[in-house]
Amino acid sequence: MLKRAFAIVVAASVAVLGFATPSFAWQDSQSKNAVYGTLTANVWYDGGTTKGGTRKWNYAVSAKVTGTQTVEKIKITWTGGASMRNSASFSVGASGSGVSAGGGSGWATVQETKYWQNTNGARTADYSSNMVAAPVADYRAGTVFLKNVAYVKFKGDSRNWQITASA
Amino acid sequence: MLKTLAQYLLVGLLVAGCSAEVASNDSRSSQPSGIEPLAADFSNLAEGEILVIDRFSSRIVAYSPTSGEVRASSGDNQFFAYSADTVPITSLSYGDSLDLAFAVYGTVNELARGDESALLHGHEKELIIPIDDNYLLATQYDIDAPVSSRLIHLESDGKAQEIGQFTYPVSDALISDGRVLTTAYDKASDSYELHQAALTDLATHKVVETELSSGNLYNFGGETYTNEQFPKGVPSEVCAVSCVEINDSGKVLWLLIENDDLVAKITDFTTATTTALDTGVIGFDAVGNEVLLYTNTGTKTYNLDAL
Repeated sequence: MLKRAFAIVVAASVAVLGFATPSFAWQDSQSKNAVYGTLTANVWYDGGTTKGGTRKWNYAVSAKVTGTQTVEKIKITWTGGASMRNSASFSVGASGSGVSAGGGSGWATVQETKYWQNTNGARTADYSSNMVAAPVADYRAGTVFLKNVAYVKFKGDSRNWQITASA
Repeated sequence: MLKTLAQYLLVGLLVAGCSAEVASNDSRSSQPSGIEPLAADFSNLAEGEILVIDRFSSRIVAYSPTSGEVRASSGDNQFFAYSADTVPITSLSYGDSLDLAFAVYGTVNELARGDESALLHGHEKELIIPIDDNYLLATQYDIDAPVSSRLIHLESDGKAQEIGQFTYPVSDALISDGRVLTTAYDKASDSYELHQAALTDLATHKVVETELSSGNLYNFGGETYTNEQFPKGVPSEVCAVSCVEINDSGKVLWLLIENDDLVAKITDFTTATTTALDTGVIGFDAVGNEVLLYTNTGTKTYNLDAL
């Protein structure tokens, strides 16, 4: 009977843990008429997972432009951040990067900015990676944000165009 | 009794599971609080903040020289700033890509003081770009396309004089040895033509080269470069993000994307040697022999002679 009780508890734990990972995501998409085409900026990041004392979000940012006028440059600048404290760190890119909060116990916004561009005529610029807040105890729940500014310049026209998406 | 214990354990686990789900749920009711955006008219510049040209985006941002903190404007306005490929900046133009109501200022600081500090205003629907310390290229737009350009001479006292006109829209222009070089985009071949004219009579322009893949013109160390064909030993990507010659020295300060970050390097065009300077560089300027790098941890200063 104890064996049966144990089996019920194990089954219940599996069922509960199976539902514990959130399946929603944060995203935004904004577009701007850039005369020769429409420029769109996108941001997306998942609900985040906590593991080993750090909190991690998968994210993707992109810029896209429609139309047929040759693209000279398409660029993205993205900034991810959160409220952190106690010298905790927040990073948006490859391991080894990251920005630290000040040493105080009060919450402060910590953010990191990354850059990417294509100059080969591509009509899109994409990037995906992880945002990491560590340690999770010094990350203020619900404050993570990601902003992406998309830029485009077409051949034969000196004008630049920009649009921002953020979530 | 064991059954009851099992039931209590089950309920306990379910409750614990729900709490874990809530804790991992980044729910929020509003946009996260962050840093106040820069006002479109720059009226909320904080004490100690300066305006700088963000060289990756060609946008004007507020910058703190001590902390390196940057504040950009929000909204979907299409304001961009343009200056020549040299530092110190002797003029910059500022305008919106849709409105095309451009004004020219002597320095970025004058931009903060507002429109009354403008040296000149362009015609309606005209895009202005400084091409060197003394000349501006003004391109006229009709409906939504560039149609023609004119060359403007900017005196040191700020007075402006039109030199002449081009009947075609000019992509880039460069003045050297009494000649004006211009590039024009040919959509059919997706390439650029290079024209040359006498500075005293722009109507004498003639095509000297065709099928250039790039319309950019540079003059570094007294030499003119077309199609980004730089000297051997100079990295080919020196002008892919942003490049400026410092004081006619032949030394070019430039930005590169490395590990998704902006890195500043300096290349001596006469010796073809390159030195990396800093990371997280969003802009730069020069004052006398001092090179200023606006990095994300504050302004870094270098002596040009030591570079």
